[in-house]
Amino acid sequence: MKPVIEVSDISKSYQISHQNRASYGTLKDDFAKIIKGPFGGRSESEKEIFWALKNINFQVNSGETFGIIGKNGSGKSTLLKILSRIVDPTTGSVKIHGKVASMLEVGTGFHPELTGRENVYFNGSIIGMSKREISQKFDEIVAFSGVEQFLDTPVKFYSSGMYVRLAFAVAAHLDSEVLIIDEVLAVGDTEFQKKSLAKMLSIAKEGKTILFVSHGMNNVQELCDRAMLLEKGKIKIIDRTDMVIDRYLGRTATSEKANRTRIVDSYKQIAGKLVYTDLSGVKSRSGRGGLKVTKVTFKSGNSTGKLVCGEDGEIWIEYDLTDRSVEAINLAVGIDSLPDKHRIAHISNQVLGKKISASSGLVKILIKKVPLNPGDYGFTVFADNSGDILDWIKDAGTFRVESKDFYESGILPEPDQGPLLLSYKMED
Amino acid sequence: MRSLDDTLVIQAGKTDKLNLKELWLYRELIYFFAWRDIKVRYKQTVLGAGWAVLQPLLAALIFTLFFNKVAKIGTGSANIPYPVFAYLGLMYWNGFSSALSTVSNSLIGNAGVINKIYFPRLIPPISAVALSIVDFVFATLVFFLLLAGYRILPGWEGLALMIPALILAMVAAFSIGLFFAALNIKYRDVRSALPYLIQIAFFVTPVIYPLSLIPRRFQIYAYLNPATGSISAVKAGIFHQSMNWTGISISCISTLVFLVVGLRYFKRTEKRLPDYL
Repeated sequence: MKPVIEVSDISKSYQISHQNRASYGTLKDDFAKIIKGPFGGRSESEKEIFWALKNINFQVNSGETFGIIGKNGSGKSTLLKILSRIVDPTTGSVKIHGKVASMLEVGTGFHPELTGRENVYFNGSIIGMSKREISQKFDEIVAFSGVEQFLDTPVKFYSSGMYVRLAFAVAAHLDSEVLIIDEVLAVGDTEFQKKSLAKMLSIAKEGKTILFVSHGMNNVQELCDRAMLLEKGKIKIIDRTDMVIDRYLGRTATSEKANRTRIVDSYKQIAGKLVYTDLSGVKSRSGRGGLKVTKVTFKSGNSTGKLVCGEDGEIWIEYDLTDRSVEAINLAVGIDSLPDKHRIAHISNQVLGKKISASSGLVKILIKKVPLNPGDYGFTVFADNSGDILDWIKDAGTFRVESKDFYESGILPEPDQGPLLLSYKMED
Repeated sequence: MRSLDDTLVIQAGKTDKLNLKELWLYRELIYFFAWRDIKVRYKQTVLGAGWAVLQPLLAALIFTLFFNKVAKIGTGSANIPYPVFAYLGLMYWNGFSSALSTVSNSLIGNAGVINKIYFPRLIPPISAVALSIVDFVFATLVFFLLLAGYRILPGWEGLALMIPALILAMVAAFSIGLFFAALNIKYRDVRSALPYLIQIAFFVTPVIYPLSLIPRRFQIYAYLNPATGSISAVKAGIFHQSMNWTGISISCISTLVFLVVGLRYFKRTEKRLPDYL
């Protein structure tokens, strides 16, 4: 595959002056420097060279989605600015093949006094669309943004959500082979974030090359094939996205393994004394197989087979993996009220943004201060591999929640007041 | 618009040459910047284009009262009414000075955009001139009404020179403004100093007094100021006076020098702009 972006030995340095001044000078300072003349050597030494980026080398292939992650100040933004031709590198060179568009911000150049329609034209033009192109895509852009009604209202009257939606809509319809995107997904409500992520995924699938910088690990994970971790202006690692994210979050592979052994060991110690729900023989299960949930154990403190209201609880799920090609799974437990079977809670690694490697065979769920009214509850277990359902047992069993003084008042709501106990305070 | 389908190379420490081809590719953006500024300007004001007319009109009125009636400064000729004389001068001066100040502030004013997206940095200064031209056009309409009101038949030479003189004034304002725009980034003092500079320049330019008020041997130096060339050429033409072609040529040459120096300084600083913005 041919590299579309070739970055060779890019470095960028800034002079930071220690005079407690903003980065721009005033004439006074420079005059003072001139007057000091030969004796001004001291003020030179007060300056320090700061390397925002140092010896950056990497390539992005055609059609690839490449993520850049790192803490604040690691040099991500500087790198994007160099690639977007906004700042000049101090050393090195970059080659980009094909038409580039960069979105370092949503709504660059939006003017509050202009109407939505006018801003679409100005913003579109500034990010590199021709007037004809904007006119052609205008309806599409407006439909995507969902602000049709307010097109002829100055954007200063827009809510921040509307503003961002319109701005993203323009950018998303930009036609270019290489897209450089910074953090733009970190805006708007959850629903719009999903929509914009889906749009980016579809852009990526069209075979475009995308360079993506974000703090949202989920987005990077979902969008990027490969990623790069920057630390203090240097490349720490370039690898498959999940590996890079693990490294970034400080979850090194070894510590993960150690943690696993600990869980399994502690489980083995008590395994003999556990009261569990055996699911290995259940026939009424759906999914394609390849993975089979065998045991579910509820545990609160030392008592197993149940949870205790208001105390920390654990749910252990054991499963057998027969399809070795499955690498990562999503595991979910649904909790239903009884006898009416209303779903009252959904527990899954997916909503935590966590991955579970399929080979582990045992997953432990920790619940803080179990917020359930005493009584019996039903549960359902579910496992899939990115949409491919492996095992699904509806109404797999029941468990009991024992009474305990949740509110430390000796009083609990009547069972017919609903299953959930919220932690709250009241003031007057 | 941007057919950068070929390979883009970013090389450290390379100053870009003046790239007219790229500017041509971005011509729509020049239009959009100008369009935005004009829209915003007229949206925020009640009078809108009225200001373009009111400013020189009120100024001409005030100068007629104080300069002409009180200080007895004339037009250099008995058949030229002072208000028309002053209005014509102010119309060009306003065009020149407003272009100069908008160009000078065009980079700082667009800092947000410059910091986030690439386009030739010459575009905001170029577009900044447009607003002054639009204002000038409105002011011209009133000028013709004044001519009619005072029953003055303008010289054809003057009419023919109106547009070239405007171009001269605008190119000069653009060139000097370009230098200030780049300097403004590094030294924000420019922003505060500029109004005073413009005010001083107003009095050394024959806007509201005839050039003949300056001693003859100094007149040629006055033409080093491009605004002098632009304004006195139009005045001489409109009011049937003899044209000082030597002086006008000097103004044209000095404008060219300003343009070259302005562009060179701008191109040299351009790459470092975002470091200061």
